[in-house]
Amino acid sequence: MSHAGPVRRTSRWVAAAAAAVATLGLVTACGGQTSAGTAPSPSGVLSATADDRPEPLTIPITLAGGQVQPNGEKITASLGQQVVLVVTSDEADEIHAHTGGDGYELEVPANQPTTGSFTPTEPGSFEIESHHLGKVIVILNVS
Amino acid sequence: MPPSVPAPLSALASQPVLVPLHGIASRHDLPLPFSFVLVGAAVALVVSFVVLGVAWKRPRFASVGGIGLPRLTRLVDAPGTRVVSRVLVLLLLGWVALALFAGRDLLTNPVFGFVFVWMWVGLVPLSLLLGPFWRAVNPLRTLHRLLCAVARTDPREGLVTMPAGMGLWPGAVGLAAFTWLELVQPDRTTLPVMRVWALAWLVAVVLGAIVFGERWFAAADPFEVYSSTVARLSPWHRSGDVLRLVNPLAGLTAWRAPPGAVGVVAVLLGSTAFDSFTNTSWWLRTVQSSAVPSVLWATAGLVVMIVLVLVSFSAAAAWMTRYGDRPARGYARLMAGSLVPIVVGYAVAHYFTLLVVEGQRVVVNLADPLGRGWDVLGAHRWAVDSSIVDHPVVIAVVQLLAIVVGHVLGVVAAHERAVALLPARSALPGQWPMLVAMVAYTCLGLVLLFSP
Repeated sequence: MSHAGPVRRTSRWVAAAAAAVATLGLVTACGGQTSAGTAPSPSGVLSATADDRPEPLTIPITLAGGQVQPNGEKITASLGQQVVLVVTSDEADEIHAHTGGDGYELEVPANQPTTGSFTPTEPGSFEIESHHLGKVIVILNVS
Repeated sequence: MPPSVPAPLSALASQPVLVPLHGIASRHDLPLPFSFVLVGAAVALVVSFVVLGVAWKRPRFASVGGIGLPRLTRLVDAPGTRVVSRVLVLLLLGWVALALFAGRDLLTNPVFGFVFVWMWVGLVPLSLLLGPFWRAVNPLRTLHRLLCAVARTDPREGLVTMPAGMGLWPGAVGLAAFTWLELVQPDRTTLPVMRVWALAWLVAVVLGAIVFGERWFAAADPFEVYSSTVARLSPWHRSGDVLRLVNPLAGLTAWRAPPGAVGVVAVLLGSTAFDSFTNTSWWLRTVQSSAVPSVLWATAGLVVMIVLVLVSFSAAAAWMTRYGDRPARGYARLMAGSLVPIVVGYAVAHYFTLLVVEGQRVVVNLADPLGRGWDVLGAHRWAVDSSIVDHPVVIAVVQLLAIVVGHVLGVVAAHERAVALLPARSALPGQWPMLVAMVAYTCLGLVLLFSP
């Protein structure tokens, strides 16, 4: 290969570059269509019903002894899908969801199961956290 | 049990927005689709093997070349231009200082966005476009010159001469300190913390300049070091006294990196990688269930990432000593420039949406620095246009292109340096560990964007 003339070397360059660009373009185009489907798999209750709105996504949250459950898990949701939080905490706390704009806040009294919901309006990756414990409960990937 | 009534804060107009748990923005980009990760890794590998197997054996950028621009040089170097730009930047920093020391401790205080978005992220595209502009407008340099004018001393001279081997190491330490502030410091979006850090920066850099002379700024001011390093990839090059418009790769290859350049690129790459790493489920789970305070975990993680890049790059460069005639330590410094495109690619991929969205918010907040309801130039009524976040595929493509193009440029620059430093026969065997290291950094970047 080191003895190849300049013309053959250049055509190898061009061929390799063309192959790379073609691969990139092809898979990007295919990847774009399936980008929502290749996100990490959801663990909440998620199913699309016959009508346009998907069913609400319910996330059960438990705060006990300074620990949070789920603990930094990644969950997928769709744009416009209602997200329902069912929270049980052993101490009074606030659940913050940084879902774009001003965000969403849910006050949770001690030892009282509390439900709240919001609907994300922007695609992106948002944290749902316990404000007093300073811990991320769920990362919500909205697409 | 009656459900608690949820309180969407948008209904309470006077309430501040929720304080984000990490950093300044409440939103991150979606994970990169896995198909993109595969494509990116494949292209990186293909390009690396093409360069290794087929590429040129003699340096292509032996001379910088380009077009000389004497009229532009006269305009840029004119005392009027210099004074006006220095005054404008000093006034802007003064305005932000007003917000920092006399403003209200709310997230709408412009200082947080100014420091973490405009200065930290905005410095990259500005330096690529304008070259090492921060050196020309650095407000700390202006302050130092004013102090020297009052004291009737020469700003270029200090009390002692700077030791020759110092190079950019103080700047690398300063950058590491800033990344600790950006990624680890608890309560970093509060005014008391920012005031302490701002004063420390002012004192460390200006005091150092009084001791060592004006050259201390180029060696130790983290923002000037960052800007000058990224600017090696800009199309501007000064040769003699004339500004030349050159091929960015030629300008990059012509860089005679001072000692400490490896430290600088290692801090930049390692910190961006660590920032991404803190979004993985593994990290959140491990840190949050551990009894060890998260500050210790985060400090350790940041240090480990920086040291990993430093050690792996130095080891890969040291391999070249088998074929060349320099000591092993010299090669890491000489090859450090080839990491600059990868650093820029990482920065663009991780932070460009932050710059586009939160960057606009800084303009809005700057119109009311004291939180008293001011509306300077009517900017406080502007709405932030965040429509880019509605196009996650476009964002993903930009991120992929940034990482891949950064890799390609880095590999080409590394090869160019290798053929210049090593005898012709050994250029290929000498650089393969460096290529492996670069492919590893690129794949790491892609996997972190996929954010498992």
